[in-house]
Amino acid sequence: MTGVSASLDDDQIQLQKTLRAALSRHCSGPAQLALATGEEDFDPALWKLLLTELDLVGLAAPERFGGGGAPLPVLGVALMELGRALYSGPYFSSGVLTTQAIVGSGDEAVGAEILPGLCRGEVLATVAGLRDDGPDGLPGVGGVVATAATADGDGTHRLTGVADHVWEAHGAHRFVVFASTRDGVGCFLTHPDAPGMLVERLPGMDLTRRLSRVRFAAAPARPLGALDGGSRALARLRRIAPVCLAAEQIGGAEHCLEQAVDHAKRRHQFGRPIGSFQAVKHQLASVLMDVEAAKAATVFALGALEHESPDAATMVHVAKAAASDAFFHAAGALIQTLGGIGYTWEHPAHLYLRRAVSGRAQFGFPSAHRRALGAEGGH
Amino acid sequence: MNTAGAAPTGGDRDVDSDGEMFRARVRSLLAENLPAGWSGIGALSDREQEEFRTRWRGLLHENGLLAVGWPIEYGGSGLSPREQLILAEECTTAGVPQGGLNDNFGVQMLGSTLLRWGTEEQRRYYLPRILSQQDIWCQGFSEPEAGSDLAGIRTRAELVEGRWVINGQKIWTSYGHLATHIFVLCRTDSSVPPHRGISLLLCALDQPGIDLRPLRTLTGEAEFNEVFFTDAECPADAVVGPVNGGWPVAMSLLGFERGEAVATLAIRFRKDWERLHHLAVDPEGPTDPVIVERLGRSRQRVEELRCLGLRAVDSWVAGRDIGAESSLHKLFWSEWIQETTELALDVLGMEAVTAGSDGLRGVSFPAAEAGTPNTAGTWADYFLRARAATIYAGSSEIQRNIIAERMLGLPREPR
Ligand SMILES: Cc1cc2nc3c(=O)[nH]c(=O)nc-3n(C[C@H](O)[C@H](O)[C@H](O)COP(=O)(O)OP(=O)(O)OC[C@H]3O[C@@H](n4cnc5c(N)ncnc54)[C@H](O)[C@@H]3O)c2cc1C
Repeated sequence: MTGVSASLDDDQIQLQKTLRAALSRHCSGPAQLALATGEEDFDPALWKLLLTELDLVGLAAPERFGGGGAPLPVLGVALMELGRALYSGPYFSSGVLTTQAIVGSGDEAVGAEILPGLCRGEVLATVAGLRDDGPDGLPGVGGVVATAATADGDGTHRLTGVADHVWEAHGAHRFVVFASTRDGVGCFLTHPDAPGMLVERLPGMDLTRRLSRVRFAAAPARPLGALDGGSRALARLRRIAPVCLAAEQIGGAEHCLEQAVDHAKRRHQFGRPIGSFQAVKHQLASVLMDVEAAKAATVFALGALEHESPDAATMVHVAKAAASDAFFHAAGALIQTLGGIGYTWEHPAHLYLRRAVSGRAQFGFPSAHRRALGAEGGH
Repeated sequence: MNTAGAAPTGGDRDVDSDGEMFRARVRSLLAENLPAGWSGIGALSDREQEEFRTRWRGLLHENGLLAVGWPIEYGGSGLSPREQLILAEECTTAGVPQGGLNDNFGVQMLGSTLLRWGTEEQRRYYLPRILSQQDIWCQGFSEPEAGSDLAGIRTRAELVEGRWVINGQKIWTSYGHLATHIFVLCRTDSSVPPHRGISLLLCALDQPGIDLRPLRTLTGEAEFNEVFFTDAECPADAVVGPVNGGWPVAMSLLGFERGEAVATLAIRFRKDWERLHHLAVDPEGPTDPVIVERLGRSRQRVEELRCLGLRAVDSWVAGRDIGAESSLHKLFWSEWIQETTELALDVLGMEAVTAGSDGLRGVSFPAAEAGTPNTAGTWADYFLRARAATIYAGSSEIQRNIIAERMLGLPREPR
């Protein structure tokens, strides 16, 4: 027995309840819309809640760096709840991407320098230089990046180029940047005030996940880890990021389905609840089937990664493809079930649809993951 | 004898809490009794399969591994859920059946129902006869006018001089031609609302009042039948559960899904997928990227099903009822079979069109048997058979109703 499970255990269910109750107070529809359309990058009160009351920011960071040392399935529970609440802010970029990149690089010194502050929520960080498709055709986190590093005579590295689609770059205090070097993929640490750094917000379909373009013009940076630190960090992100995003998508999908069901029970037309019409109930039943299957696969994939079980790589593809489709399917069904109200700006349904669209494209399209599964063959 | 050992007793169990000792015993039973180079029952010819099935059933019976969920006192093996899962996994992986063709009706459906609803005398009488194959059962529920709407059955039974006298017709009776007995859902009171006048009767087929006629399925085989009852008889005490209270009995009979069913289905589907991958992907040259993606989707769904299965097993082992989730599983796997066999036809192109049927060896619903030759003919046959999967055991439309009503809590359809 590998100990990998497709079910949540009792502690995880307890955590889920706690988080759901806490987040529901902060992530109501109007609050989400205000945040999505306002000038604020994120809600500082909510960040404080995640940090202090819920202790989530350093959840999966190693204990030696001040983190909670939680296994990936527990992180998955947190992400599901954040996804359900359509949380908008630096959690994924700091608590998942940056943390995992630094841990993956094997650079203990940088870990000790950055992660304790990150876990305390004082340091916000993100990862730049990832691509949605790698040069080897594998989806997930790309290998070759738009930036290049050259070492000066004094050993300082300088980054040049453009990194696209950087998550939550505004407000980040540190950037972990993947760049191609003569020795392969390198991973570097820099900060927004370094000379030659320019962060531009990209216009975006997803109003609750802000993406930026970061330009590097000979910006000074420090390499992370030994010579293979970059490729190790990338290899780790390439597996963990898609599954963590899948967990977030499952939460979003569950929320959409629940909203749709709730409306279908209450809204009457032709003298009966619309949820008694088969066209409506069958669509929602199909969404449930997809969501439940994707959820079981995602929970299992998180465990498989945690235990480094032999099917982990396969399950990354399965989880990301299934969860992306389930969320997209659920968000579409929600709007359809709501009718006209679902097409209004004020109703938060479109925020979920937008998030579902952006998540499909990040860390590998479902189709790309399926091609990887189809090519993989059986063993 | 008893190499796999029936149930390990209490003491053993504590030592073997993860069931690995039991697994080792099952494996050695399989190793001792399967020929070298065994790839699965699907590799045998029809006649060889029949012989193998008979021999294998006998072996399982001798080793107390046939009625795995029944208590020992009735000839079952009283295995724990984990042991049942292990046995099913090992048999599936080895490509051997867990019983005869009619055992799904006898052991699974009727046996489980008698344990829940039967009298002590009924259990003591019928259960051993199921195991010894003195009685071989088939299921008489559906009628020409009552399929999805099962409560609409019209076959009538009346008590006349201490015997039930049955008149009417059943249809789609799978493997009825291999059976000696039929459990038959009858209307025993027409004066009350439909659900309240139904009884489940146990009836021998070999009598003048019964006429069983084969029906051919769309694959051309004679797998199911119609059964006509003209003053057919059975004893007054051959009723399971209360007279006129047969509806809940029938519902629980249909609801006996062993927790490991989905988990082992995923093992079988994975084998199907590997066979298809082998046909579709040429290691030397490029493969149509659309086909690669569809193969990927098929694999994705197998893995999702596997995870749903693992989750169901967790509930089962913990003693929780999975309830309507079994509808979700049914919908998921029946759609998988159709989607994947459609892909196979696209991969094979004209080869499948001109294959002719070389018969999908191994008549075991719903997946192909392990060892099935990887030919255009078997895939063509598998495709045709797949059409049934979304109809029997509750059509997809009915499953979606159940999911929507019981899992999502949506209002019932007006009736
Ligand atoms: C291979 C095979 C083996 C079988 N073996 C047995 C057996 O051994 N014993 C036995 O008793 N029966 C058996 N059956 C019968 C099976 O249970 C019925 O075929 C099934 O219940 C459907 O009933 P029906 O065929 O009358 O179709 P109908 O109920 O007439 O359905 C026809 C179509 O209408 C749809 N429909 C019906 N009601 C609704 C609704 N409320 N909402 C939406 N759509 C609806 C159905 O989904 C289906 O698409 C077998 C069937 C098959 C195909």
